[in-house]
Amino acid sequence: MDKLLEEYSTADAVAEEIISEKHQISDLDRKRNSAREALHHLKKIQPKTAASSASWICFGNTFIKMDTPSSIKMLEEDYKQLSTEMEKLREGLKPKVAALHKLEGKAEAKGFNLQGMRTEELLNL
Amino acid sequence: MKSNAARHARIRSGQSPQTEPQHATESTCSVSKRSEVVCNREGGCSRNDGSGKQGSGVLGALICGVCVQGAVSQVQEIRDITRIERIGAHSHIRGLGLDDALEPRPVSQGMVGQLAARRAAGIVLEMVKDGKIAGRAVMIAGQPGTGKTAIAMGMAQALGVDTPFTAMAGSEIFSLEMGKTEALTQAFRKSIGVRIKEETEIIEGEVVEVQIDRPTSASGAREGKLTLKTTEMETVYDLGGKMIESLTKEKVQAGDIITIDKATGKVSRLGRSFTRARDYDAMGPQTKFVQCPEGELQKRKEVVHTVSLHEIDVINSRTQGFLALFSGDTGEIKSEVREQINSKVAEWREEGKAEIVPGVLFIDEVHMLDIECFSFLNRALESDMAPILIMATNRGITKIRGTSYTSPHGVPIDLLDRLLIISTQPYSEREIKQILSIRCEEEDVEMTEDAVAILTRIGMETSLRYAMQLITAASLTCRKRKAGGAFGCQATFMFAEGEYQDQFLFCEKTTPVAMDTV
Repeated sequence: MDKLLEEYSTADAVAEEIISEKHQISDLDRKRNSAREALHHLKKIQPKTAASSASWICFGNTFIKMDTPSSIKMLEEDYKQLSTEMEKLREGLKPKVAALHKLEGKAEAKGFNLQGMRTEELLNL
Repeated sequence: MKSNAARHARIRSGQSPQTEPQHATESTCSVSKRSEVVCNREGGCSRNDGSGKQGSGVLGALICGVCVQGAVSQVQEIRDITRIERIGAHSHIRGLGLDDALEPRPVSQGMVGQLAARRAAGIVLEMVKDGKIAGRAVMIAGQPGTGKTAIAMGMAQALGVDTPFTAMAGSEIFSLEMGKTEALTQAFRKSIGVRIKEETEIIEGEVVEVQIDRPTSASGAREGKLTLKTTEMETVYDLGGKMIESLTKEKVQAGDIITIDKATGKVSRLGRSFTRARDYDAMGPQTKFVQCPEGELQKRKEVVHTVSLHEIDVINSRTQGFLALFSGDTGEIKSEVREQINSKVAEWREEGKAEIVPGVLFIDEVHMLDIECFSFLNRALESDMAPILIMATNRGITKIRGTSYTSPHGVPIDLLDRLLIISTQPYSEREIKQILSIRCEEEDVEMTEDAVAILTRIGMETSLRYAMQLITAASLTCRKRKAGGAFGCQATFMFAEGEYQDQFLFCEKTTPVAMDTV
């Protein structure tokens, strides 16, 4: 009985972890999207304004006035970091899902540990 | 199709319309699928050239009407046909009927008896599943009607969908269009799977708004904005000229669920969002409603496919094109193409892009192969990507085809040495009875105890196959005579008892065998 309970609780814990990571991924994607929007806008207005002009940038709840080139640079860095973070989380998800499947007694999904390829690679070898 | 086209030509060239409709109905009734084709084509034609060639347009419309009628009455008939499922000789087999410890259950998954053979098959199967043995061969040998094909079918069912299984009969390789070795090579390559993972970055979401600005000058590039959302977020994408083009081509509007392939920029519409279901009252029947996607907008999609080496061959053989895959008419494939694909697959394997899934090739009636094929098999089994070969035969010591030598099972000794042989034993009376009752269930026939007993005896005296055939024949005669369950098929099985044998060709028995008449 204890063993059963233990198994269920570990399965539940793993499932919880997976769900929270999924949420984290979508949160990161939201941030990444807003960074992308801001970046695009800044790049669009940059040529029209003077080189040393500043723009208001909103961080959470505070507005900061920063010069445009450095804010672009900052946003680009943010974007890159968010992307790598998401990639890391995605990679981490796979073994966790596999572990959950194993705990639930389901057959493991084969082939997901392979390197991805594109459909076109199959054609015209 | 050809005859249809010919008929059209005749109609167009102006035969009297009085006879034509009759003609049309006649032929549409005889071939149902064609009638639909005719109908579609004519419908399209009559619309298209309605302005230019009034006469043919009207005639086309007339024929169209007739055809539609024919098609409607035909559609019902087609449904009637498809409702009856075809019942094959082994359609009742769902697996090998083994428990978790590979011990055979006496009656399970449509299998009865043959315990030792089934256990052996189960062990082979486990090895196949683990990918432990490749390039081995198994032979199932036994008298006719002892369940050789049934065991092979059971193995195929138990393997599941992911492992490739190819079944062929030994005589299939003799064809004028293809060499024997080519047919065998294709069969081998059909039974080797390659598992690959397709990975695409996509943007998936519900369209909130599409805004396309008119260019300010004639030469100016078009610009636009696309607002997408999921249940959790919403964002705006700026659109360039190419994206605008593909969005307008797909007729994307607010409320659609779309995916955009990041690498190619291909837009595909999945359907309308459920929340917009009440936007319009009139909606085409093909409007599909989809749930608004969850989670992040930019997703990674991974799909795992198992394709056979033969499929990759066909896709890449330039003379044919991949459409040959659907027509089945692949012809011969050049060995250079195969070599190229082998090396490419090996490369993918090293890069961790692909996995080889060795499958099973089942050759029934293997004594029909000749000496060339056997030596080819010998060689092919040694290749490092060979599937597991299962052969079945009902011959004892017999001539090897293409030579004057005799050998056990008609298989040369050197190939025989590589085989694991599973032998099947004749069924006992009780087992035959059980199989017959399973078949009765499968064929939806109710039979009295007496009838089953008689049928079992026929099965013992002639063969199981013959007894199984009698089930449906008997039930039909029974229904015709409106007899209440009594077994009435004497005329057919009297033949089996040898009474009329001397009236026919190839009669080896000179005196009829004395038997109790039923």
